[in-house]
Amino acid sequence: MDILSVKDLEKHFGGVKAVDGCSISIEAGTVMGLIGPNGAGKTTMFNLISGFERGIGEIVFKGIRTDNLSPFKIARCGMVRTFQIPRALTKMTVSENLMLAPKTQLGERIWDVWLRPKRVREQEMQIREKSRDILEFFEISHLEDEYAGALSGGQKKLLEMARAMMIDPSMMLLDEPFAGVNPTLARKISRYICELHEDGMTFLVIEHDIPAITKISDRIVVMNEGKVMAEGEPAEIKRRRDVLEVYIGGEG
Amino acid sequence: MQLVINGLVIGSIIAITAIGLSMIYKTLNFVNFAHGDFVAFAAYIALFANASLGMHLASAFLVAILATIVLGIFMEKVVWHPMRRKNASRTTLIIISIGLALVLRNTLIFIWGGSTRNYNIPVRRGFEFFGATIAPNQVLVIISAFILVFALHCLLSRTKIGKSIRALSDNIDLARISGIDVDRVILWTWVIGLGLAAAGGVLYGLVTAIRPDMGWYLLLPMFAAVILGGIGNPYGTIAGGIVIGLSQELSTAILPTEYKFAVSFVVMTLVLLLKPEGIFGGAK
Amino acid sequence: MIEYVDMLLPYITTILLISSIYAIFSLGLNLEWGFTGLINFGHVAFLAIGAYTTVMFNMSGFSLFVSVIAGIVLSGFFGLLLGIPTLRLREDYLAIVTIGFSEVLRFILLNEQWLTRGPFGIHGFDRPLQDVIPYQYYNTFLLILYLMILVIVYFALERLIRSPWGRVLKSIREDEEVSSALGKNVFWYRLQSLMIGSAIAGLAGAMLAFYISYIDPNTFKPIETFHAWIIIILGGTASNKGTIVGALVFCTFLSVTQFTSRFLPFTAHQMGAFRMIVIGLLLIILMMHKPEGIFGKKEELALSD
Repeated sequence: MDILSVKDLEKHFGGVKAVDGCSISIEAGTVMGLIGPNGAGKTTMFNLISGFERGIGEIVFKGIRTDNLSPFKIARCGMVRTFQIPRALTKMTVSENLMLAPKTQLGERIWDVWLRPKRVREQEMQIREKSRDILEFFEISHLEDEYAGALSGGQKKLLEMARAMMIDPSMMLLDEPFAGVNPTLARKISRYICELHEDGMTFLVIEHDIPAITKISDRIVVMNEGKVMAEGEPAEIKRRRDVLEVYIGGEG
Repeated sequence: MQLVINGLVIGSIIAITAIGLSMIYKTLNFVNFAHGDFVAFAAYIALFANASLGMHLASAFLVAILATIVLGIFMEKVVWHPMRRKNASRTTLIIISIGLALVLRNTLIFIWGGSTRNYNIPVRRGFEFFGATIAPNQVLVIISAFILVFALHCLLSRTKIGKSIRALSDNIDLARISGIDVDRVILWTWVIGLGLAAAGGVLYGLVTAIRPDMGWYLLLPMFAAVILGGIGNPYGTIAGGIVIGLSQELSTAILPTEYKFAVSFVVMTLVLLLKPEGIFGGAK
Repeated sequence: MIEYVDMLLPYITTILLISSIYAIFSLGLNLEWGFTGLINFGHVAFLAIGAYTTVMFNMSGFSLFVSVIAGIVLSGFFGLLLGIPTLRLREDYLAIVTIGFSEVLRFILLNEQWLTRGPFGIHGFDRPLQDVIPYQYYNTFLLILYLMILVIVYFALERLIRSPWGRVLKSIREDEEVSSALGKNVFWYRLQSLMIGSAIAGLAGAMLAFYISYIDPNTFKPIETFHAWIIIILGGTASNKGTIVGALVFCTFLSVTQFTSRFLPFTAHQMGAFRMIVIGLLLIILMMHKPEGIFGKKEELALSD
């Protein structure tokens, strides 16, 4: 069953076609890797799917047409994304960053802050519990009260993933989760993704680190110059001549 | 017809003064709320030179421009440049410019008081033109505006500094990489922008009473002109200025005169909501 | 010694009264700017709407209580009206539009004499409990009332800010895309913030009207907005405590300098201008060197990006 299906997606910037007629389908509970040389249009695809850019074409997520929805609505449908350069909310603590995330918090509505303070307090406690569990899962519990601005790059990446988890998403879009990350951390991230995957999470992951991505993906999509060049299981993709050429030629 | 003429006159003034605002907005990426008060400052310097020192208005004109430019350079060196180095946010700069506006305007009040003044020039009779009266001062304003615009055009298209300014406006990082001395170009942007504003200010004093808040009242129309014409597009700003000036004056045919500024406000808001790049599209 | 106290007391009462009004006015702005990151240069418009609405309702026969509520509600409503088209604009455009809005409003107040009596202003409206409190104690009574209101507003805002609602606001202030990516409706939160800030300004407007017993459009010039800005910057943006302290410091400064004009060879007008010059310089220097103000926390500074 497809959780996400994208048909004939296009995005123009001035005269440039960043995304030129792409169609992808992702089955629920699978990890799909998105690779391709720089400038192939991968991040634009991400932005289109998560609503941060508007383009032409059809995007259906969990049976709902999302190509015209604002990003926050798409997020509420259960799709969460991370950013290539981690965007932690630096002026808030790690705990606050996490507790911000969950949906339908009563306390986020003004009326309920005044009229149902007890329920709000209870919910806050539940959310704090959950945030502690997730921090433990990512092994960064000790950072709970640090201002997110004080975190290292790798820690911020984990923070982003932890924060995304708090939403209870159905699908996570990860933008280069392994970029600029030391091998130990990379292994950890890989493990987290696999564990979440086993619990049923669907992933779409942009990556340049080919070994890492082929290890975790069920399927891989290769983009080049705005178009989908190839799609298939990691083993097949690794063998394909044209993919290798595009990568070696494009990345030197 | 009278309204059209008045509109053209005030439109030219708005156009000239707004170019500086537009250029600075584009290059330095913030709204200089003190711009109007620089305009007023120039008018007062000219007043001082003319009425108190007895200079001919033409010399006073030059003195005013010089003084304003000097003030602008001072601000750049003492405030704007250090703040840019600190990577100050746009909002910080805007608030600083508000502080500057307060200081400038109140210094004018402090020295010259709040009452209205006028230049010390002979009063001449206007002449007839298609059923309306044009004062010679008004003609002077329009002609001067033309000359200034032409001079600007030559500057921007033919001189090296003009080209550098255009390059900087387009893409500041690219300009920096191609070896352009960004700080020098920014300095020149201030010089040209404030020079024009000063010229506009002196001309403004020719057709209205000189009051300390004359600049502040020009600010909204200036913003409207800048946005209408597209930020960073000097020619757009000129067109925008004329349009705003005309619409303001023509509106008095149907609205009470005090609502002139409402016209600028409405025009500007509409443009911002519907086509933020401006009618003539600078860039966003 | 007792004579000094006798002389000083009404003077101090006045300063505290004005401070409490400015404090509430600025608290509204602090919510909008300090906590949500909205550049509202037209805040005084809502002071005016609150004042005029309250007064006009009262002059039409409504009780004071109803009139004040009307003032608050209408200010909040106009905040909504202003916000819907403009909150999507970039910050500097928002600054320009809001200033335009407050000036246009002032022109309307000046010109629509049938409604607002224009430049002649309105007086003769009721003041709270004016029949009950003897004249010489009235200001003291008003001060106690206003301080109570200030305390209520302060605690209400603090409650709001520390709630999950306030947390969303903080996230929007720093990075609205992240907030959006987490499912928060950024526009709606900004709008709520503007509405509440405007409603609070409306309350301050009613309080102002009752204090000076007379309102006219000139009371509501743009400079008042910038007084509030100075107050919140001085006290530390995003610090409600700081805002209150800032209001007190600012108003004390304004009042004290009225005395020093005796020592300086300035005329009254010049003194006024001199005061503004100092304020302007203060603003510049603060922004350049200590933008987090007295009470602000550097890490929470919304400006250093």
